[in-house]
Amino acid sequence: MKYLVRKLITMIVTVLMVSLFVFIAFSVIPGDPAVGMLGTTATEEKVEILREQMGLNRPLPVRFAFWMRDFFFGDMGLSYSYHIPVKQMLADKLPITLTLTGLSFLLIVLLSIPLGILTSKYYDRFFAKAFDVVNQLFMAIPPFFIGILLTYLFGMLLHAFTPGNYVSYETDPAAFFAYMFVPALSVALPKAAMNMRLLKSEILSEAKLDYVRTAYSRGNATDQVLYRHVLRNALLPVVTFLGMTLTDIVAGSIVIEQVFSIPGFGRLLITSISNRDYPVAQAIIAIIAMLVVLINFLVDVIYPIIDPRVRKHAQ
Amino acid sequence: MNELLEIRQLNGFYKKKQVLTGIDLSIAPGEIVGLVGESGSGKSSLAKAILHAGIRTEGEIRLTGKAQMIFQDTYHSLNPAMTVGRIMEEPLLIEGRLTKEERKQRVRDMMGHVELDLTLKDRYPSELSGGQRQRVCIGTALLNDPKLLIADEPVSALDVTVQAKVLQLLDRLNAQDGITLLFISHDLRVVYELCNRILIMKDGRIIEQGSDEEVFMHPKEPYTKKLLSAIM
Repeated sequence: MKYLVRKLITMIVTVLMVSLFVFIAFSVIPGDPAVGMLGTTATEEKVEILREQMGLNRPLPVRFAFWMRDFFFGDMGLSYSYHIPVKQMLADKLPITLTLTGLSFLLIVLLSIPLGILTSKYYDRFFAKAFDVVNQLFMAIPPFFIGILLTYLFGMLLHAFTPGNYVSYETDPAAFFAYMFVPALSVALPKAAMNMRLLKSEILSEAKLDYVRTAYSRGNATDQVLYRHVLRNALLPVVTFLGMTLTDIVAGSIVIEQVFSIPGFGRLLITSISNRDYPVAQAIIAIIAMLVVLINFLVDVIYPIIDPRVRKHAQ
Repeated sequence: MNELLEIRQLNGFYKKKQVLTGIDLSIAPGEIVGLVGESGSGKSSLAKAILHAGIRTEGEIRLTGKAQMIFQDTYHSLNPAMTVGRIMEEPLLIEGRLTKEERKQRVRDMMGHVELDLTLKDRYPSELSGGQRQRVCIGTALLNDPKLLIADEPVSALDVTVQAKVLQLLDRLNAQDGITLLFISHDLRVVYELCNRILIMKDGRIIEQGSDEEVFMHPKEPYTKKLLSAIM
């Protein structure tokens, strides 16, 4: 319990720090947001009135405090470009990005864990060695390029979806998932290759430890040794890696959404930065950063469950 | 023939490298046999051969009943993710004859038998002392109902006082339960204290064997004399 409270406090402090950095970063960018909203032809008087309305004349710490308060109550300000609440703009984008992230993560786990176990169990067979080569290949190619190749394969040759023709969940759920599958797979393949390799090497190095020899001597069969003894210990670094991977794919969704024309957070972020629509960009970056902090917190929570040494240490 | 273990003309190999040559050995029920030699002399390889684990063999090994082994490195010999209770329950779980409650009762009985406090049942190996971990290893091995217990340097990593207690425990298990012991060590003092018969190994061969008195008081081989002179 103490451990959880400690991790929770760490998470809250990190969120506050991240929010402060994001706020400061957007406050020191040259250019007046009021001028940005009214245009360069606006009179100085109008600009001054708007600055007052937007609270831009207040000292920086006061502005940060108000921004934080509003942010956590769901008020992320108005978009400079569209003059609508940022919250409204993000509301339908967040589920798209989360779906892409969730689907990618699911594919990483579903591909890497069984294949990692299989290739370590039969490490000296031809197919396991062939997987090593394929692994190297996937790790070397960046996701967006894998995306292009998969688009050609699934879109042009197999006609599983129409490239560039995004279908929303509301229009056709099946077509939505069919469209999201390829970008999710593009994100997943390099990470799955890395995770599979990590799991394989962890299993093989755990298998050399003395407790495995003891487990065999107690009468366990190979599969019992693998699943009862080795796997649980080998999974510890894999969980850490999966946590880092999840944060990485949340942040990395920006590029892949651009490649596949997916109207999620990533595309909105790029558009808002190029339009100097700072409230939108600021909110997206803050939300992504908070998601990353939240994922790290969840990994911290899971870790003691699977590793008793951490649990005891935590107590 | 009423020997517990009979080995005739045993050769052992790791891939192509021969590590055991022409081993002849008999152990009677209830004996405590010491196997002595320097590192690399083939002591652990012989133990592995008896257990048919990780070594290719030629020749004859006849064992009546089960053999179990305990190791030197107690910390790494136990799964760090399992509690003492779970570790000790495993042989019974594999055997599959007892109910959960019966298994738990047997584990509790065995913990008492090897002088382990019952409160340690829910602890992890990292929370125990070296001596306690070795008792867990011994207790777990005994739960398999072995006739022969092979102890590979079981006290080498322990403090002298803890060593003495573990040796007393092994001696008691031999006297009370009739467990036959093959005690592997490079420490002649420990072997002399515990064993009734001693085998000296060198370069994968048993070069000398006899009662503890014979080997210690009247060694025949120069190598044995050299080993003894190191502790005299």
